[in-house]
Amino acid sequence: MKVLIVDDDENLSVIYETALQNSGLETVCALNGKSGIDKAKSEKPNLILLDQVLPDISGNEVLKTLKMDASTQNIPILMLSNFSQEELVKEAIDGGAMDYIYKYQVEPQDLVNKVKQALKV
Amino acid sequence: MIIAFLVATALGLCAVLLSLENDNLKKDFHKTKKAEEDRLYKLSVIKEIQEKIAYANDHEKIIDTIMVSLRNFLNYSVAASMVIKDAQIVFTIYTEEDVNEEYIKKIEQNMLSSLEKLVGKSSLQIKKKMYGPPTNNAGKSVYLSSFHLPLIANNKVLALLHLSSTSENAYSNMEDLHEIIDAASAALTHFGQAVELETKKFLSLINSMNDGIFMADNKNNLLTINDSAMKILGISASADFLDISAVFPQNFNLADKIRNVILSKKPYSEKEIQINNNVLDIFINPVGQEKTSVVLRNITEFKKKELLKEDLLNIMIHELRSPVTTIKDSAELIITSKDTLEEDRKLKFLEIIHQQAKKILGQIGSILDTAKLDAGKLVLQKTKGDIAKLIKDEMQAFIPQAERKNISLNFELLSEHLPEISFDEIRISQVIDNLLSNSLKFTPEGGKVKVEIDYKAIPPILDGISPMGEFLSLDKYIVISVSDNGVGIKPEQQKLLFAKYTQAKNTTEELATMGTGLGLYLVKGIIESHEGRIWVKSVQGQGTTFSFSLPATDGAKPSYEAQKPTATPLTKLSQTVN
Repeated sequence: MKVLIVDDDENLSVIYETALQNSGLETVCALNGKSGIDKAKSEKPNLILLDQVLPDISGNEVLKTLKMDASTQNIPILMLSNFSQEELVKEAIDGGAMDYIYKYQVEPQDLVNKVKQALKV
Repeated sequence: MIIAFLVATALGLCAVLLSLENDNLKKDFHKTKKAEEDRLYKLSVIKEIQEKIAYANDHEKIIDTIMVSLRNFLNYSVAASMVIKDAQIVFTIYTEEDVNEEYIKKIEQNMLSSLEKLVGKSSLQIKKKMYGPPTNNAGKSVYLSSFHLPLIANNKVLALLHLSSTSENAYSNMEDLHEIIDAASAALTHFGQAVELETKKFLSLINSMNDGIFMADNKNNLLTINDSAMKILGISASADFLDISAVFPQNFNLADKIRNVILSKKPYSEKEIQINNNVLDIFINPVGQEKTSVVLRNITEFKKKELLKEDLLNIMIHELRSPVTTIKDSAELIITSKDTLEEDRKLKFLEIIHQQAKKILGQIGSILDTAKLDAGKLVLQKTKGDIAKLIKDEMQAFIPQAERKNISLNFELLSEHLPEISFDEIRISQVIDNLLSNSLKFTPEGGKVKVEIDYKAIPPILDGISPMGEFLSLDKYIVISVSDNGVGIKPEQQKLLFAKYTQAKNTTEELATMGTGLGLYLVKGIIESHEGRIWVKSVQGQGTTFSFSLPATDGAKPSYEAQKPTATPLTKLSQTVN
C-alpha cells in the first residue's frame, strides 16, 4: 500500500514517512502542490495525506484538481492542517476530503492508525 | 383805608395767581405722570415681546401680546389679527362692544383683502378664535373708523392687525402702536437673522462630522439629515423618512424604534448593523418631547482591521504550531520507536527538535522585533564591516537546504571595488536569512537562487516613478539582490508583501503561504532604519528578485527628497528598476 505525503514541511514529511514505513506502508513525498498532483497521477498512491498550506497552490485547490481528474478522483484524501478555522475544514470536506486532521492534535501513531483505517488495512 | 384795600386786592390777586399756577402745575404734573406711565407700559410690552421672541420665536404669541396690550393705549370696539402659521390663517377677534356677525364678517373680508394685497392670493384655511362678549344680533353691524397694520420681519409679512370703532375718527394718533409694532418687527428680524446664522453654523457643523446624523419626529417626518448620513445610507437629499427606513434591514424597524425612544424618553443603541456595504453602530436619542436624533457610526474600516488582525493571529498561531507539532512528533517517534529506530534516524529527529526549537525562538524574536519597530524602538548596533563576507557566511547555512532540493545557490560580486560600509550585522543577517529562506521555499526542485552585490547609483525615488528612468542623483549605494526562478508573486500580492496588515482580499491559506507577514515587514523596517530602500520585481511562473540598497557612506543622506516607501507602488517599481 502506497501513501503520498504532500507537505512543504520537510521535517514533518520525514516524521510521517518514518511512522508510516514502520507500519509497513510505502511512502512517496511531494513538497508542493504541483508536484503533489503529478505524483498522484504517476505514482498511483492508495491514499494521499494533503497539507492545507502549500507554497504554490493551496491544498484545497490540489484537492479540487485531483477530484476532477478521472485517474485520481477515487484516491481517498486525508487533509492535514495546523489551522483550526471551521470554514477551512468545511471547504475540504465539501471538496471531497475523507477527513480533516489537525496536525497538532495527533501523534504520528494516531495518524498511521487513521491511514490504516482509511485503507481498511 | 385805600392803602389797606390795595394791599388786600394785591394779596387777593396774588392768591388767585398762585392758585392758578398751582392748578397748572398739578395738570402738568399729571400729564407728565400719565405720559411716563404710558411710556413705561409701552417699554414693558416691548420687553415682553422681545422675551417671547427669544423664548419661542412664535409670531402668533407676539401678536397675542400686542393685542392684549392694545386696550391700554387705544379705544376700539373690535381688535383682530390674522397670523399666517403652519399653512393656515389664525384669525383672532377681541370684542369690547356688542357687535353682530355682520360686523365680524366685514372685518374678515377687509383683512383678507388687505392680506391678499400684501402676500398675494392664498387659499389657506382660516382658523377663527374669539375673545370678549360674543356677537349678538342686537349689536352694531358697522364700524365708522378702522385701521390695518402689518407685522413684517425679514421682508416677510407675518401678520395683519385690525382695529375698528363704532365712533368716527377714532384713530388719528397711532404713534404708540407704530412704535410697538416697529419694535416687534425689529426684534423678529434680528432674531430671525441670528437664528438663520446659528442654523447655518449648526448645519455646517453636523455636515462636517464623520458620523451620519439625522433627526426624525414621532410622525415619521425627517427633520434634518447630514451629508455623512446620506452617503452612508446611499440616499439623495430629496429622500424622506420612508426612503431611509427602506434602507435599514427588515428586522430593524426604524419607525418603531424611534417611537419607543420618544415614549420611553430613553436612548437606544444597536451594534453592527449591516447597511449597504457598511457596518454601523446606531444610536437613537430622544430630543425634546417628540423628536429623536439618530447617529450612524460607520465602523466598517474598524471591522475590516479587526478581521485582518484576527487573520494575522490565526496565521501566527499556525506558524507557531508547525514547529511545535514537529518537535512533538519527533519526540514521540523517538520514544515509541526507540527499539526499532536506527541511531542515525534518532539523531536526525533530535536535530529536527533542536532546529525547530530555534525556529520558535526566532519567531518569538520576530514578534518582539515587530513590536519594537512599531514603537520606534528598534535600535541598530552599526559597525563598519565587509557586507560581502557577511552575505557569503550567511549563505553557507542554506547550502544543505538547497542541496536537498537540488537548487543551485550562487553568489556574484558585480562591482570590483566595494566600499566598507556601516551596518548592524545581526539585523542585516536577519534580512539575508529571511530573503534566502523565502527564495528557497518558493523555488521548485532543480531551480536557481542567486545573490548579487553591486555598488551603483540607483533611481532616487524607488517607490515612485523616476522620470524616463533617468538618474537624478549620483549617490551610490550598495545594492543587494536575491533572485530565484520560483513560482513568482501575483501582482496583487506584491502590493501587500511589506505590509503588516493588508486590506486585500486574501484567503487565510494564501496569507499563510506568505508566512506571518511579519518577516518582510521587519525586513523593510530594518532596511529603512539603515536609510536604505527595498523593492521587488516578480513575474508569476518565472521568478522573483528582492533588492535592497544600503547607503555607501557613513550616515549618508539621500540628496533628494525621497518619499517614504510604501507597499503600494511596487508594481510600478518593478518596471522602472532593473
